[in-house]
Amino acid sequence: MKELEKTKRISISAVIFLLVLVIALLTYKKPKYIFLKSSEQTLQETVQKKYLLGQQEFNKDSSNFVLVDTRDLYEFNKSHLPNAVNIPLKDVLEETTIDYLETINDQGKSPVLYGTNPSEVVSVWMTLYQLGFEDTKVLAITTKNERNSLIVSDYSLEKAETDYRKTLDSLRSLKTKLEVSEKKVEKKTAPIKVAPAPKKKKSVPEGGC
Amino acid sequence: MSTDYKFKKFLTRRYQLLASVLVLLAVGLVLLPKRIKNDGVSPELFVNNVLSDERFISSDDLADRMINKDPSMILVDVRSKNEFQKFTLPGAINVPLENFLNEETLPYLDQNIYDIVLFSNDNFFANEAWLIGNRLGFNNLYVLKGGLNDWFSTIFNPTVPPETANKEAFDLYDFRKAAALYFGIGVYEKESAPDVRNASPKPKKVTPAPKKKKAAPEGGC
Repeated sequence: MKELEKTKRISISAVIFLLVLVIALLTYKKPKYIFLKSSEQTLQETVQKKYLLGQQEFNKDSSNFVLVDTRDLYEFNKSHLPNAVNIPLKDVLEETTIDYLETINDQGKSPVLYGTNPSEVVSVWMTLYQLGFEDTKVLAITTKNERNSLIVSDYSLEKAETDYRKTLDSLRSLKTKLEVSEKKVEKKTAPIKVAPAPKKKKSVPEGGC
Repeated sequence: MSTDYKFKKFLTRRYQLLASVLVLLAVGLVLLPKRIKNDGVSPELFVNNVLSDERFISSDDLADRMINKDPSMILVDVRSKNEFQKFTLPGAINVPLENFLNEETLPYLDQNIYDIVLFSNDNFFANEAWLIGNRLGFNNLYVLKGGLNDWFSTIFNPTVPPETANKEAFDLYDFRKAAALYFGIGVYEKESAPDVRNASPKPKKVTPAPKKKKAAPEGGC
């Protein structure tokens, strides 16, 4: 009898043990997407700038690339590059998008992203890169919708528009120069004095009855 | 006697069975696939943060904060050291993009006290730096919109708004002129000079001579 009680207890605890395991397995949630690249890897790739693709490089073997427009649907519908597909940033994590990108990868092609300017596109690129789409490229162009056609121009990365130091110095020296020139100019265009026309005095009504 | 023996045998077998189940489970744990860890934020949060434009700070807002000597702001120049030495914004520190996750710079980025404003020539590098920071969940990072190029064309060298522009445009222009003066640039003079050169002297206001009071009619009976 003693033995029986012992086995009962053991089997009950065994059942509870298994139950806990089953519950743990059921509640385990696997995240839908995971960044496969670490932040260090991403930073390295970012610094190397291998993902930037010039227009000429793209044209050389455009058959290996699939153009992806990252602007929103409205702009995409107005005009886009030929054969481009539309994947705005907000749709990147949709299942259909990921499936589509995987099929592109399986075909041995790599997606080439473009948008209004590379600075916007780079966020889409970084999302895709971290998700594991390593072959993704960014086309170094800026685009603009104008009268329902897309105007494409080359983008020079992080180019300083002016030599900052020089411009700053010239702006600072401008102050003194202009003070001098201003005086000269002022002499030339001396304000013309506008003499107010003398008003005629109203004749005083003369007396009389 | 024999039944008792059988019963005991049965029990020991049961123990063995239970024990083997536990051992099997333990072996299963070893065989489990290596769990892929996601360092930083989840992809969903990453995309959500990127979608918002909140990270961009305009050069006017930045100038305003600099003039008011906002103590809770740190300017970070993410360009190369060479470019940094040539020119940078007053009070900025240099963290080239490749050193962004160095041990020395991480304490600057991973905190909740200061607003970090990242800038570069354009906003491309600064935006990239922001994205890396966003991945790691740093939430006090900002990007100077348009970068130094924009800073020069708005604060240091503002263009005069057309005469048809509204009052806000002129207010903004006045602010930019004042800001430039604060940063030691005499934009004020620069702007007034071409006006004179264009030979369009402002018409002097002619103040009409005060009318004389009508003299009371004289005379009479």
